[in-house]
Order: sequence, then structure tokens, then C-alpha cells
Amino acid sequence: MRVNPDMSADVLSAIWETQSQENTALQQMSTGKRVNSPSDDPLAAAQMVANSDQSNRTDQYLQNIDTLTSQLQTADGALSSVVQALTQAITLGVQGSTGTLSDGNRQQIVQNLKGIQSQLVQLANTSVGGSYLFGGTATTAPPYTLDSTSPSGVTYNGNSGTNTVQPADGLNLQTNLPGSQLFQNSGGDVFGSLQQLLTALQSGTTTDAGTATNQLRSAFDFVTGQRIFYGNGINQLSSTQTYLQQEKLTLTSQENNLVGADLTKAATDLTRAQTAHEAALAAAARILPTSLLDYLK
Amino acid sequence: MSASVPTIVASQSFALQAGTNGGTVQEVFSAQGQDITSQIQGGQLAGTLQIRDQVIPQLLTGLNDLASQFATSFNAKHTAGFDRSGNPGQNFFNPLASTTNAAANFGVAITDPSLIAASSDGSAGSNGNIAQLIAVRDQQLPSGASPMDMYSNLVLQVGNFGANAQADSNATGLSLQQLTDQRNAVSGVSLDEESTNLIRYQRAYEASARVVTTVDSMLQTLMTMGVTT
Repeated sequence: MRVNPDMSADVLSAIWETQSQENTALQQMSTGKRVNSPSDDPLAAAQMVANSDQSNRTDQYLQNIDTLTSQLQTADGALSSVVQALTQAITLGVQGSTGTLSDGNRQQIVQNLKGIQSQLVQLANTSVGGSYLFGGTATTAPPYTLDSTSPSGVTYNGNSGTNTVQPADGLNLQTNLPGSQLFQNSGGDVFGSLQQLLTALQSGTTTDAGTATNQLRSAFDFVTGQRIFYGNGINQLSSTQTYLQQEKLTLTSQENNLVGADLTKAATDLTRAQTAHEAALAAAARILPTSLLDYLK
Repeated sequence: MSASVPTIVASQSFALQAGTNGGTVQEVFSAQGQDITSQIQGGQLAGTLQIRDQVIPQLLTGLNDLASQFATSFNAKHTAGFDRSGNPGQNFFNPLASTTNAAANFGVAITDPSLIAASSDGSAGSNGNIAQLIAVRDQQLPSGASPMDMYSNLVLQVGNFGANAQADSNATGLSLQQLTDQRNAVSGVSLDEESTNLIRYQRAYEASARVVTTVDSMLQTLMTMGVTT
């Protein structure tokens, strides 16, 4: 049978083919990826879109959790100081409600209590990055100012709004308690009972002072109870963080399955393609120039 | 169907020209100035034209739809909120009047971060509208798919076009190679065959020459016989 006497085209295409296999294997090994453009595996490339979206989202969630945790910790720290200040105020109130005090001592206690009052205002005006933590959603101005004409001794400039943050898919976490709920609650009114104690010591009876001190105690209990809100939030964020870090690992391994190169296979492919390429070149060099003419002397 | 336009007649060739024909894209013209773009049915030029006029516009439409629908949905949620100063939210993305060139004109309209309408009630610290904005990601756009799905689909389409073209090219290349082989098997010049023929003819010639030489020598002998020395 007569065959195509000019093999150069076949040989050339075989050389190109092996060279392209070498390139593919080399690219997979150097990038570590099996899918380097969508056409390498359209379906995997499309799935990678969702994967990298979720991965970016998880990164952002983790970053948010850091910010949020420090915000909750600051708020919790402020409440802890409020509780300490209230302990002092209760001690002073107990001293003030005993009948054996001189006017001078009483004045001394009043001065101390006024100091505690402005300290509490300062704590209630705690801010993180220029945003006030206890003003509800009115975060741009200090929520509390001292106001001697008000029955509570202060004016609240905030509102009763609360914010909810999504620290992970499908999880909603309330991140703030407004000052009106924390410090002026009917279950325990920090500023109101302190002002009542001041009034009692300045112009009332020891019985009035005793009643006001008891109200301070219930305010103390109330604020201590509210700290659970922040403690819970911090705990929840911490466990969410662990979960998200796990999720990140899962996503990375999923990415590896979708588009990652099997390096062992790529290395084997490379060796095989290299051998085939060299063989094709060697065969071409031996066969192509040979014809009958070489043997006719 | 108009008559085909000759580009090569005998030893004369007619150069094609490129130019616009009232539109913005380049068309192919014959040497006589006739627009023959639609008549080009094969070859590299037809492939390039098909990519330009059919494949890319289809993908572009998908991308433009995504850009315009996403911008519109996001703006709708954004304008329902309030910025840090308590003013109603403005458009977050440049409003896209039509889907033409939507992806090219897609861009953020606001430059001041305090104009982000995160607040749902006008107070500066509220973040109620953020949840609404985030929800756009998973909501169906008018196309019936979420933005992420629309984009994944586009990636899938582009990948498929590439992969199919690659497979077609491989298959066509193989059949071309086989056909070339078959043709060359019939019409190709085999040096071995021609050398063999050459040798055969050479031998025949040599043999004929030998016959002539022999006859010549015989004649010569014959002639010599008649001459007395």
C-alpha cells in the first residue's frame, strides 16, 4: 500500500502535541492549579466564583468579629467601672444614712457622691473610635450631660435604638444596649437613685437617705445583671470565630479539590510528555532525511 | 443571495478593504467597494467575525444585564435608608439608564463614606439598612437569578465557549491531518518510488545503449569483413 511519503507534517504535529502536554504539566506544577482559565474546566471555574465569594465573606466576618469584640469588651469594661463606682456610692450612702454625722462630714460625703456622679456620666459617655456606646443609635454626640435641674441629675441625649450585626451567615447579634435602658431603667435607676441620695443628704432626713441607698442597691443589682448581655455577646462572637476559622479551612480544601493541581500527577505527566517529546524528536531526526538516495553510491 | 465576489481571477488578485458602513464596527469591502462581510462564510476571517458579531455580544448582554440589574436593586435599597447625617440615601452606584454599556459605566456614585445609607431610621449610629443591602446578594434580580448565580453563569458560558472551541479545533485538526495524509498518499512524491523508477529507466537506457553498442560493433565487424587488408 502506498503511504504518505512526506511524514514531516505528521512528525511536526506529534512534536507540537507532546510539547503542549509538557507546557500544560509545567503550568500546573508552577501555579499549583489545574484550572488556570475558565476553559480548562468551565464547571469548576463557575463553582469557584461561589467559593471565593464565600471565602471573602468569611474573611470579612472574621475582621468584623475582631472589631465587634473589642467594642463589646470596652462596653463591658465601662459597666464594670460603673459597678465599682456604685459600690462606693452605696458605702457612702450607708454612712450618710446614720444619724450621727456632723454637717461637715455630710458635706464631705455629698462632695464625694458628686464626684461619683460625674464619673458615672463620663463612663456612660464611653466611646470607641468616636462613636458613643451607650447612646442607642445616636452615636455621634455624648449621650449624657450633667443637669442639676433634672430629677435624675442628668439629661439623656441618646435614643432607645439598638443595632443588630450579622457576624456570620444566618446569625444575628444585638450589639448595644441604649443608656436609657442601662442607667435609667425602672428596675434599677442609677442616675435617679444617686440624685435622690444627694438630695436626701443635702436637704432630707436620714430615712430618705436610707431609702435612696436601697434604690442604689437595686440599681447595682440591675447593672450587674445587664453585664451578662455583653458577656454573652463576647462568648458568642468567640465561638463564631472558631466556627468561621474552621469554615475557612473547609473552603480552602474545597478550592483545592475544585481547581488545585494534583502535583504527583502533574510531575508524572511532565516526565511522560518529556520522554515522548524527546522520542519524537529523535525518531524524526533518524527517519526524515533517509531515502533510497542515501544508499545509491 | 448576491453573486460571489471574485478575489483572485487568473493571475490577478483583488485586495479586500476594511471600513465602516454607517455603523461603528469595521466591515469588509471588496475592491469594488461592496460590503461583503455577510458573505464571508469560512476561514480565519469568518471565525473572527463570528466571535465579534455573535459570541461576544451575547456575553456582553449577560454582563450588562448583571451590572444594570444589580446597580438598580442595590440603589433601591440604598435610597430607602439614611446616611450618617440623617439625610435620605442617594444612589450608591451610578444609575444606569439603559443596559447598553451598563458594565462599562458601572461605578460607585458616592465619594464620601459618610453618605453610605446604613441607617434605617435616620440616627447616625443605626445599621438597620446594612442588612437590607447585604440581602441584595441573595435576592433574585429581575433576570430570576441572584447576582452571584448570574456571574457564575457568565463564567460557565465563557469557559464553555473556550473549551468547546478548543475541542472543535482539536477534532478538526485531526481530520485535516488524516485528509492531508490520504491526499499525499495518492499525490505525494515518494523519493524512494521515483529513485526506483529512475534506476529502472537508467538501467533500461543502459541496456538499450548496450544493444546499440553491440549492433554497432557487429556492423563494424561486418564492414571490416568486406575489406581486404
